[in-house]
Amino acid sequence: MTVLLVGLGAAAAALGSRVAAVLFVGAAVAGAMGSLLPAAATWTGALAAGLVRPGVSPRRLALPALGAAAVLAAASSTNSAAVLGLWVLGTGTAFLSRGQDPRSRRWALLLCVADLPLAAAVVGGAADAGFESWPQGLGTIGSVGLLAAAALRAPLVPGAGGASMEAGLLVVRAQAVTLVLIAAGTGSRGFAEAMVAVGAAGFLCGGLVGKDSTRDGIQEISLVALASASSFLGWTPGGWEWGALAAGTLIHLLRVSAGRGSAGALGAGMLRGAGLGLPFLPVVVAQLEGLLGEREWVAAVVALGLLGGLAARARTSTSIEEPAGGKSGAMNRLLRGGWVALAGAASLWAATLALPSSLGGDAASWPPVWAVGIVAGLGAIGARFPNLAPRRAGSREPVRSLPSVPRLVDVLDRIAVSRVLEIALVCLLLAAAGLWVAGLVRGFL
Amino acid sequence: MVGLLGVDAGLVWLIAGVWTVRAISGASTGVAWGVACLAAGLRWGTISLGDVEVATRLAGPTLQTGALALRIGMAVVFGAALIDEARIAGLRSDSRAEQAAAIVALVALVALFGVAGPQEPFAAALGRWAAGTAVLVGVVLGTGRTMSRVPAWVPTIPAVAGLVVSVLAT
Repeated sequence: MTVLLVGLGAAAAALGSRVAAVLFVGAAVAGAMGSLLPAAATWTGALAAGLVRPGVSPRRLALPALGAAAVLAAASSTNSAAVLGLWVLGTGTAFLSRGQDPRSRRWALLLCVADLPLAAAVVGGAADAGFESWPQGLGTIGSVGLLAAAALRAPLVPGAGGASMEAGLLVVRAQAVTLVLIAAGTGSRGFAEAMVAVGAAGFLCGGLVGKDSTRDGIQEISLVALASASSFLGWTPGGWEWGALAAGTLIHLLRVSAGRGSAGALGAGMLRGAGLGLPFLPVVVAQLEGLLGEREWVAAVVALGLLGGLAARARTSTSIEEPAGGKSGAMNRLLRGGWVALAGAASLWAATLALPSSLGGDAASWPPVWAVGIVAGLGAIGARFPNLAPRRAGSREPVRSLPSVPRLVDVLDRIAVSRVLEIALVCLLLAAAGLWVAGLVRGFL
Repeated sequence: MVGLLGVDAGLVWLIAGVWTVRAISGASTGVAWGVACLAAGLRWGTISLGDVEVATRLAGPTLQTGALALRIGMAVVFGAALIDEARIAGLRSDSRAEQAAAIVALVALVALFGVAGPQEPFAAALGRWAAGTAVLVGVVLGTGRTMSRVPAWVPTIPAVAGLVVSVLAT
């Protein structure tokens, strides 16, 4: 049902109708009631609905939404003969959404490269345990492949600018989340422990990235990996990947809708503040609380990773990117205010992130209503008396990048010419078709 | 402020609150101070200041309890946090919000490291917090000019090292 509704939403978007938003909301609701990766389905639908905004043509969402439907279909498939085909279809839609500038070509090339570990895992799993054992038959090596594919995808979530932004947020994000959730549930216990450490390290490294959208994407995927692996191990209450994705969805929408006006400035402050107002905060707290009861070194590593990620986020964030194509109309301002209010509520009250269910939220220790009231009251006082606010706004520390990054970009630019990109996509399609034919020949067994 | 009142997950509220004010103003956030707060929490297995207070009321101040290696680790973390606060010089800022954040940061260090948890009468405990904070304010103001030359990343290294030592010693 979720896949169908996202697909119908894509069709409505292709016709330029804003009814697409209603269909995406329906997909999110259906996803929440489903049994297979409900968090991924729900928050992909919700993000798609949020991206239907005034002043931006819904047609921009048509192809990415179709890709998201293909990814969700791949995630719900239990036969690996069909998985790769649906997956590559998703990658293909993102690929077609790219621009023609060097940055977009680089992004498309990396997208194809990021599919290689997954293709290897799917083919290896099929050869090892048959087609119908997907994803349980993956084993630890296959799970490592999925995690590698997710790690390669995480920096690509924001897209390459322009029309690829929606493709990144809908297709690439859904792919990365799906990969992480499947990997967490199919690997060994040792793999899950390693995944907790990788998630914490990813959150730290993501915070060091200077570009806001890339930083948000990496930190969201890292938190999902950390939450899903730690709940698999029984270290934290189950379901916090739901909260991580809810927080990530709010952050993406807050960033995309950021602009001029008081709500825009408040939203920008919340994104840059790395503390109060940041919807990731309750998820970080839930993870820390759960892991404190485990081995000391695990708690220390995760605590340093999460704390470092928040600190780096506050240090390196430079500017809120301009919203893609959005106009500053009354409806946009209203929407922006809504996202700011929702994100603020989610950051102050952990249970908000668990809505509509009580996944994890009830189990999270979180300050009582009076404490939230104090924070909100102090915020209101601060807004009433601007002289209390710091006067050096904008004097941030300079962002430094590794010296090897420009060289790597040069190399990628030389490789990522149109012909190479087309060959890469065709190779992936041939691999998917080959697997499907092999499955057909063997009766999908 | 909410964190200092001892609510659940209060250490994270403390860190988030102080970092929020500093991040929005563009000032250095104080990573070593944040690591120190969390290290004290890890030492007692909690992220609530209220729980740390209960633990230190029973066992004694964080800096004075546990094995020698543990105390050394905690002392290194505490010293690094103090250097970081002196370096940031939030008390000398022309912004009231940054000054308040600096005071909260120093009160937190006193409560987490320097004194035992409060017992009846609470006025005595508040007096210890105030006296400890006054001492730290003096240290921070007195060394601020020298410490301002310390690069931002320097205090983080001993803070993390102290945390590692204390984890290994636990």
